[in-house]
Amino acid sequence: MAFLQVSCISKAFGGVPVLRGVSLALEEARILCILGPSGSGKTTLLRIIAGLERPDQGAVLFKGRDLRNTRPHLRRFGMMFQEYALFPHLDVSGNIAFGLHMLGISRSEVVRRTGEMLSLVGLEDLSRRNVSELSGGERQRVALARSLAPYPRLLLLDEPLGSLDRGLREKLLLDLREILRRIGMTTIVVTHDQTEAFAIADTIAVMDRGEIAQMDTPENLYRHPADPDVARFLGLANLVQGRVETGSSIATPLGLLHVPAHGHERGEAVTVLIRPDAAVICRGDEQVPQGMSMVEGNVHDCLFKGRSYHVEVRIPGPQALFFDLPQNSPAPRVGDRVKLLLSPGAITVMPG
Amino acid sequence: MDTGVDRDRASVRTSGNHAAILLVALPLAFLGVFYFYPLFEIFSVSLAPAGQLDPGNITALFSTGSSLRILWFTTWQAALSTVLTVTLALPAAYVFARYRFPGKSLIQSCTAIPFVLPSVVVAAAFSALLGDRGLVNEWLMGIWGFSAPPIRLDQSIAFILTAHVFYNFTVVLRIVGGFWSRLHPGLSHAAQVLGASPWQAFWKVTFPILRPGIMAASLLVFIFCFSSFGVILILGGPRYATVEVAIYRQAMHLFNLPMAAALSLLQICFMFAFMWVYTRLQRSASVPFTPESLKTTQRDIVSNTDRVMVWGTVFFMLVFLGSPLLALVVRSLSTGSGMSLLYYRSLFENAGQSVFYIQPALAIGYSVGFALVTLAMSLCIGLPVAIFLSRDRGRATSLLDPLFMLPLATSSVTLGFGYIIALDEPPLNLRASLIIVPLAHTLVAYPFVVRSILPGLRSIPAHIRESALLLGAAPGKVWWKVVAPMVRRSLAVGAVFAFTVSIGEFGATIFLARPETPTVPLAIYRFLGQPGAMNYGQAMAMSTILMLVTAAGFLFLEKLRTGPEGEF
Repeated sequence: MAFLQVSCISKAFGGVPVLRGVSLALEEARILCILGPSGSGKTTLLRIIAGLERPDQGAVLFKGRDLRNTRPHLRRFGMMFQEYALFPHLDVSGNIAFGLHMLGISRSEVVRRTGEMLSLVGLEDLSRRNVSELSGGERQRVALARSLAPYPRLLLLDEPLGSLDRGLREKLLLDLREILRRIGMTTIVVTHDQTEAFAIADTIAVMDRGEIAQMDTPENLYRHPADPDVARFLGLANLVQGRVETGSSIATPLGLLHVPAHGHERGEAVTVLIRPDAAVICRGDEQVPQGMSMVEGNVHDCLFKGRSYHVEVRIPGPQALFFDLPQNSPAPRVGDRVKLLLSPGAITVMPG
Repeated sequence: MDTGVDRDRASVRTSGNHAAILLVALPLAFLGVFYFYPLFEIFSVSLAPAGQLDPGNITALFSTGSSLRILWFTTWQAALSTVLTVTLALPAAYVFARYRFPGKSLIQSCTAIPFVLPSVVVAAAFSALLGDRGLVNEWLMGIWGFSAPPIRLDQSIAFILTAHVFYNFTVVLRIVGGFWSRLHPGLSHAAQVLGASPWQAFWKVTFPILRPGIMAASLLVFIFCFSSFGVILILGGPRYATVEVAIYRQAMHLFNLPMAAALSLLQICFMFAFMWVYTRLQRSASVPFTPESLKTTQRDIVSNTDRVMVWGTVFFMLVFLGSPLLALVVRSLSTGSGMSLLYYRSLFENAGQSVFYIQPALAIGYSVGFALVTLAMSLCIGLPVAIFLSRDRGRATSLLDPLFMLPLATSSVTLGFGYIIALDEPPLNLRASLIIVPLAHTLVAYPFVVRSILPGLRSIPAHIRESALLLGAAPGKVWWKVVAPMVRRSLAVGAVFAFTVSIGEFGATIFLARPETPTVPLAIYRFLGQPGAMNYGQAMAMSTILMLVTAAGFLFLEKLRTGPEGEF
């Protein structure tokens, strides 16, 4: 029996379906990330799990128990809202202690636990500070401490870093990950940012138009996206139409690509995904090693990004491919004609 | 070395300030002569009636039981009215803050109409609905055959309280509702996820955040009820007297000017104290929470509970706020022989049996005339003040802004009384002059003009004016060609405000208008006080006309304020 089981949840607002039969399961002390573009229904799913919305169909089960008739304040799920929803009339400590007061525990215990939470998020010095005087990052920490304080059985985070600026995000992301792993909290995180999801999750569920398109570990998801939409959402843009030629080669407008096409029939139409880290530049006189593929094209644009060059290569025909080339290779110049070697491990074959 | 530049700038600023002083010279003179001088006279008559300091009046005020009784009644009726208003309006504020429903903005505009009606009209409307001669009693007597009116509210405290709730309902609805609608429902949800039941979430989170708004609205309602005059004079009869009514009776019935002055002084002190607290409260009411857009805080009607709550509230409001006004119209049309326009026609016929009789149509003429003069004078005073205050001039602004708003904190009865004791001897003997009425009205109306124009002026970015200057327009031209067109709409709002304030003004007018030159509210008051179906019917007809004029003015304002150019 799963710790949390969501089965066949559907929900529509004013006749417009937002969730269509979503199911997922989560084990204790794991972190699940629901990743999707805005409007994909991920926040609604989170609110249904919290009990703030009622599903039209389906059920949320916690340790096998149906939560249909358990109201939100009795579920003991912590939730951190997108804009944090800190109480403006209470100070930092007051916000963190709110849920503890609701538990009805003794005053001294409230003080102890509040202090513990403050030090967990590193805000010991700000306990009496007014929440309006906090920076964005501090607010995020107070919100996290507040949702963790009353010993929630499950933590729900709605875009926990969404309203912060970029530099702050990376630091707080690592902090958040560290805190959640340290206390072993079962967590569901909703986000639209793949970097965030990859960094924090044990499992990622990609949501698209109210359905879960794919659910897997971050590595598997990145290596083997289930369909072109998932690939595109993960920021993988090199998608090429092709046809299976043999068990290990596919004919595409780029030429013949060598890649194992397990589970695909000969002659079947497929989409080939070439990941941006698949290519290295090949000097003109080099032999193409066994099993590698080679494509040729003109460098249309080249952007030095420090660790790598981000290049756009135009292959004859309209096709444009984007690659991240290691910075220690010779700098490609715009207009150069280049040959690129593609390693088969960075190429995925998908149906369609 | 840029000290030279600095000095140039400084000299530009001071010369700008000299011009600015000219701008407010006329308003300051007006305020001095027609506000502070009467106020000073009230002080001197109450403290030194015979030219020497004699605190006898003040001590008499506190040693006689009757004035303490008046003060006590004034306070508790205001407190009770406030509690009732808040209790009834709070659920409505919730519904208007949290739901979207068809017709909402129209309903919200209409519920504000009672607040802008002249007190005489409100009194007449309640008399038409629930008074001894009102519709409900008439029907009950017709249906059940009672020989006397079964509902006896005339001259009762319940009547006064009902009228006060009716009057101030929209104050709480607007202030608290506005506050509430900007409060993110996520706060309540966050509390619930943290283990608070919906009820706990309301008391521990929503209510504390709303409290400053509720306090501000309550205090405002309390101030209005504390200085209530027309409603109590007409509905309360001789049994009840607030401080305002007592001033009027002492001055106009008993001719005890020192006593009236002492009471006025008391009223002035209380009103200033309340206003001071209110200003303080408003400052602290700006709770540092980030206001949310209405899109995220309001929801559609979905469940049956929603439906019952929303439409139940709307139904209650329409019945409570609409029925007195409807009764007024019905009563003005129902004559002994069925529905007709008899009373309206009679307003324009000269019955002339009595030497005291004044043709009602004349009262309408005087009212409109006074209102037009008030409008012109209010713009002449209000516009320069608004232009002056629209730029930050440091201490001058922070000093003059509250000074120019002071008349708002002074009840019109004390104002009227101050005028009759101050402006009755040369060189300012205006008692016999027609202009004294619009002068008092202007003092009541111009702060509204300033408050209407000021936000419009302040919202014009400095660089728009500067680019006009650099394009070769002289400062005066900049005003006419650039600024004026941009604030045209707020000017119109201020003008309509001044007109409606003047046409419904009662408290000061009752002291100042001469018997042969009454205004419509005064004529209504006189007709209501006289026996006979014809007098009553004419009072109803005039009240209906006044109600329609005021309501039309107000709805026009609402339309202007929320027009395509946005709210201001």
